Amino acid sequence: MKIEEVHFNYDTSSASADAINLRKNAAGGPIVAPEWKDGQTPQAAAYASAAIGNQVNIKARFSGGPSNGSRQIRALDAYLPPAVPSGCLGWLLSLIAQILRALFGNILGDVQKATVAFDGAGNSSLETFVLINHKLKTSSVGVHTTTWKWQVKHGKKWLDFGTTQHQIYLVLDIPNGPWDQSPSGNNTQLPWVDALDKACLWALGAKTKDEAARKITLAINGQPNQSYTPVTMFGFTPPYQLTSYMNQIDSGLPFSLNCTDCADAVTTFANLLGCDLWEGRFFNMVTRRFLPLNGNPAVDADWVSWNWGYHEICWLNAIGQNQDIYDGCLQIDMDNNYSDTVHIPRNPVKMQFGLNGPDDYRFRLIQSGAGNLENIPRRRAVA
Amino acid sequence: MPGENVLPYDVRALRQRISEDRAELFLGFSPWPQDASGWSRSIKEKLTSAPGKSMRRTVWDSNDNRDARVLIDVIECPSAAGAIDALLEELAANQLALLPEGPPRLGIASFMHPEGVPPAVFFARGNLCIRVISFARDAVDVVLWAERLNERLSDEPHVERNRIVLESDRESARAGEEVPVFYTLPWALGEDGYLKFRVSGATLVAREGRLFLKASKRGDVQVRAYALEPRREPYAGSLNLTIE
Repeated sequence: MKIEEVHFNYDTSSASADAINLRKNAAGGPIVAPEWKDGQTPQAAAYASAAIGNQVNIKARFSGGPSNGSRQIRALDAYLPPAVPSGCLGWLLSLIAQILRALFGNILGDVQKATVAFDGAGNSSLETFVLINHKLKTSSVGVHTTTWKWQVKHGKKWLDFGTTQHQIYLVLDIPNGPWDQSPSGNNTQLPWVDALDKACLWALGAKTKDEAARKITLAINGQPNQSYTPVTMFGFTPPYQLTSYMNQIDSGLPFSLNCTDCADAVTTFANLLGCDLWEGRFFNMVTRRFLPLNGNPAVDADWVSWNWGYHEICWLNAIGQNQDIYDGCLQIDMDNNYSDTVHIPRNPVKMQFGLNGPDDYRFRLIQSGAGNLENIPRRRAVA
Repeated sequence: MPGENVLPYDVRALRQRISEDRAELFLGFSPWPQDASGWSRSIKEKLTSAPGKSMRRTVWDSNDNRDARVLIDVIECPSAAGAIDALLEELAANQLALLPEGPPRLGIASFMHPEGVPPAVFFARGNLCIRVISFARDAVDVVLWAERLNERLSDEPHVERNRIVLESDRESARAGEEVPVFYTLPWALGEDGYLKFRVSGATLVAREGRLFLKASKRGDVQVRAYALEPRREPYAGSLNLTIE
């Protein structure tokens, strides 16, 4: 008996019982099931937690079965807990192993047994299997590895006949714009695995959209090789040059970007996880002193003020004075005395834009000027 | 109150700088290693851009300072008017409330960051909008870089032989009429090769891979084309037309 194929995204029109539509990146084409095929490099799959219904299925195909016969087949999680020494060290190692498993281990559970029929040549058709004990509804954002031990029943015994390994991303909901799920053609706006690698790492462990958006904002703001320039580097007029941005991050070399680039990044990566952010601008302001990208909050000279024609940030659900915002480009000063050298940095994360309240983003950012909102929500297409 | 981004630049005056009887057009231009002695090109990308435009990005890293990098984007537009529009888009995409004009010799219009801001310069020349940006923590004098590029764009190459075939489907045309211009190169250009067209008596636009010239008044039109590549002899071609 041999496992030939495993299909996770077998229905490209739905994500309630199977995986979502993906592509590798802008240049690579859509990932088409089977994601696992014997002898080929496995491809990733991703599930959108909120979209998952009561039952999650996979499909699989086998060869080497009994001619014109049938067999019961299942797959079990192949994970074996590591042997740990006794005592405190053992307890600690066991705890670490459990945490790592929760963060990166199997979330697909096991494959429930099913009876598979074989033709005269011993080949099966594409059979549907139900996943049991999966954690797709309860787990958090992450990149997980599932290793399944495939078994066939002989008499009363289950015998191993193959092992498959799968890279599974879990996001909170169906990705929002600029991403979409249209399977037709070479849709470059299908979620990219290369972007999921980053978003799922940055928002690792997030269980809510607020938490995911917060983690993404902090990650964008905290990329160590970035510095601020007023120039939009990765696309003001669409598309957003996501590939170019990710190349810069991966290079490890220093580079600069502005607020539009940060808003693009936060929106694009957060919405990949199912958040609902929009980019939007406001105009004409002299700012209070804030901490730009990679500024040191303890160094007074790093707190700077700018005369801006516009500033672009991320808005939760919609643009409006009473809406909540995320700003990955800077940290504001929550210290009430703006003339001294004491600063209390805060990342603007789910902060009301507001007006003149001490907890309002607008009050903390704008010293003078209109700061009028442009009611044009944007989600720039990615390239 | 709803906001609107009203740019504080005299757009009309910028557009009026475009000549109606003289043109330059560049196809495939990008910075060469000899434009950046002491620097290494770490990135060369062709970025997705709006229809009709192309955008080539190069990033140059200082050989002895990790924190000194220069990014150069060459935005190739169909025409000089398109290049001015691209320059205006650059200004709109800049957070600074107002950018001062750059050196007057830089293209037909240029703007730059004021002192104290990470350096950047933007200029339009022919159908190109070029932005040169100090791309890392240490400030680099990007005006020098822009001037080197501008020099290469304005350079009149000395050419021994006309080997570019430059022709039209007519010998004369009426004022206001679009005339297609065809060119044939003796061989394909390498990845850093580019074409430079100089026109007197008319304007020249590139549309869907084809060239068209248009004269606003009667007279003689001359088109001169150059093919240029690093470490290779330049070659040229010319075309004369009468506008009736």
